[in-house]
Amino acid sequence: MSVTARRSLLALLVPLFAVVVWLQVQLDPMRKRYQPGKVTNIEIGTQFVAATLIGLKEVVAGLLWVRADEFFHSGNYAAVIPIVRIVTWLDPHQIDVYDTGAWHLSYNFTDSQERSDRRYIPPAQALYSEGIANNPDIYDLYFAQGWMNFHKVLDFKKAIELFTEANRRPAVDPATGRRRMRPQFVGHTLAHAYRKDGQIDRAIEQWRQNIRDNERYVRESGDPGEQVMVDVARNNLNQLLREKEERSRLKPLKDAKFEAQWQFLGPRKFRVFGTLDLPTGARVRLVLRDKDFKEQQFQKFSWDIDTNQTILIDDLYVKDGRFSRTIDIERDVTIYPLKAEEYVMTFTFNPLTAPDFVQDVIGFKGEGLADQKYLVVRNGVRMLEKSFIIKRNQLL
Amino acid sequence: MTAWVIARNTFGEAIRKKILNVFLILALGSVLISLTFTFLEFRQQVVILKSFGLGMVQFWGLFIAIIMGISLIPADIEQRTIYTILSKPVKRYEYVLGRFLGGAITLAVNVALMGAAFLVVFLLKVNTRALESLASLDFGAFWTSWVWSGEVPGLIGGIAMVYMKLLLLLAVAVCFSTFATVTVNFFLSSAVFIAGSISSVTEAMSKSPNTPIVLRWLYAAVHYLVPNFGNYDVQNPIIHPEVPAADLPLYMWKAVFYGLAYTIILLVVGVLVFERKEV
Repeated sequence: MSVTARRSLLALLVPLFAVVVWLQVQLDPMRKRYQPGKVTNIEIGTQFVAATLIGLKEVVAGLLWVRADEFFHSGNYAAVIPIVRIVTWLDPHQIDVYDTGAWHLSYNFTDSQERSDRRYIPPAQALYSEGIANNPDIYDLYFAQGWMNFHKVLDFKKAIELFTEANRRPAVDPATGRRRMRPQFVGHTLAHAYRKDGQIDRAIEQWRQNIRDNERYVRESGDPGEQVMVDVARNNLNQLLREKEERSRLKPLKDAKFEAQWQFLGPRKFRVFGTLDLPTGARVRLVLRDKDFKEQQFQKFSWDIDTNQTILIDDLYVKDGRFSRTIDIERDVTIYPLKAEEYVMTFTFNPLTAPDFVQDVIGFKGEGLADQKYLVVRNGVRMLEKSFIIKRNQLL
Repeated sequence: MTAWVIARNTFGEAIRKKILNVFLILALGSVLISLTFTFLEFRQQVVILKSFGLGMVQFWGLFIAIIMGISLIPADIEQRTIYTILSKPVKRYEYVLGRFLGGAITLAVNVALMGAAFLVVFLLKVNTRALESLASLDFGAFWTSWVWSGEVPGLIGGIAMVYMKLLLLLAVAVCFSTFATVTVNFFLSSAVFIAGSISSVTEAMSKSPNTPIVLRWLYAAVHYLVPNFGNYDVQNPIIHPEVPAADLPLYMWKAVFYGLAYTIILLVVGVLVFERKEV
């Protein structure tokens, strides 16, 4: 090679490097959009960092999730949550992982009598919120968090808020990757949530909207089988209109003759019992909590709960006007540490959460409910409530 | 023209190498394994199939690129065939260029085969109903239930990004092979690959106020001067098409130009070194 050619090649390197650096400056801000890790807080183990370094984040995430599935099927739920944390860090668009993780937290950590550990509800909410922040444009996680609030937490207002967001967003077909209409059950569940919250007129309005949406779904999908959802929405609307009409005439008021007591049976063991003159199948909610209990707030997801807190929630089945249950938490010291000096034990009957056949007697919001001792009205809902203040030594 | 002849010979030699064929078979097997995760939800299966498929094309492609790249020139020196080649009217730059082009073609064929296998597996996976129809020899139902996934162009884009990454790695290995032995080259190329793959870290450190100023410069130098393999990690929006990925095609084109420019730099350096090498 001649000296001139050599010098020319050397000179060529300078503009080429300039081009490379210029392109890198252009690529840097764009790259962040396509490489995940936006909303997480995690200290990740170095063993996972290696794979992520060479661009195999998603592969590791997938394989870890397969492993998590094995843990789940072997009943080792506690092992699943750290994997959820790692997988969502590696790939924050794995919506099923957020959903499954939050479900584990809110449902599957249970005591020896199958009551879930309520201290994990705030972490579950935080995990859902993180998932939504990372995946804000599709309906899935709004719906999933709404369902947890609807079914587990019984916070119907929050459920409505989330179902409404879900009902504004599309779904994605996993086979084709194309956007499509969200499933019809999203709008249906929103209507159910309005009804559960006692917002009957909004529920009726939503069922009418659901009928229109479902008819459009049938037209656009071209699948006549989808007509069944139109029929379901019509039936639900008609039933709700009928119930509204019937329940507007609840006279005279039904005296529930509510009474509740508790009895110490031994250390960490007590019986709760009482009367409620409503149809068999009604439920009384028992809450035992620290007197100064405050639900933990998580700005970002963590499963590091305050293990000094105690909160126990159970639903007591009413049969022939009576309810009774023995609460034995002797083997559940970690879930119910009983470290506070004082506790509040509350028995509540809330018409909003009552089954249909009970609401037939007392109305959607307790309009037909009466009680001589324990009737309270909260946010327009007539409910029954009795509380006890209990000292720690009364439980131990 | 001479370079093209050398490239064709290089390709012919490469496809006869058993080790590269073994990697290719392993890659195809790895893609097929992802079909077995049927115990997960369908959506999760599809996500894992895509991430696993793209990941395996890259993973085995890395082995193919590096093993091939480090041995392209040293093998000729060790076997002394380099004397025969250079005694003919072949310029040294033509030789280096020909070797690289042959490697690039081999890499392209391997990635194309792995990518095609992945795409076939993906389309079969998302067409469960169509496959059932085919199994029952109902060809009419097969065609009507077949879904042409809108994700295929994105997946092809993802495979193309993997190829660009591997091409850049091949250029690094070929550049080093003009002066380093196979073993030294293996570690050198691997080190450059790792340093160039942590672009998000080097970029963050070069801008962090907590990093001492000298180290900031060092990180900036690594970030801008070492080939940036992290530029090609765009699998996530391809695996999750529901996530908006504005300007992704533009980004991919820029990354392609970046890769081509850097490949030229590495080849020029390789040629300059090889011109002065005593063989």
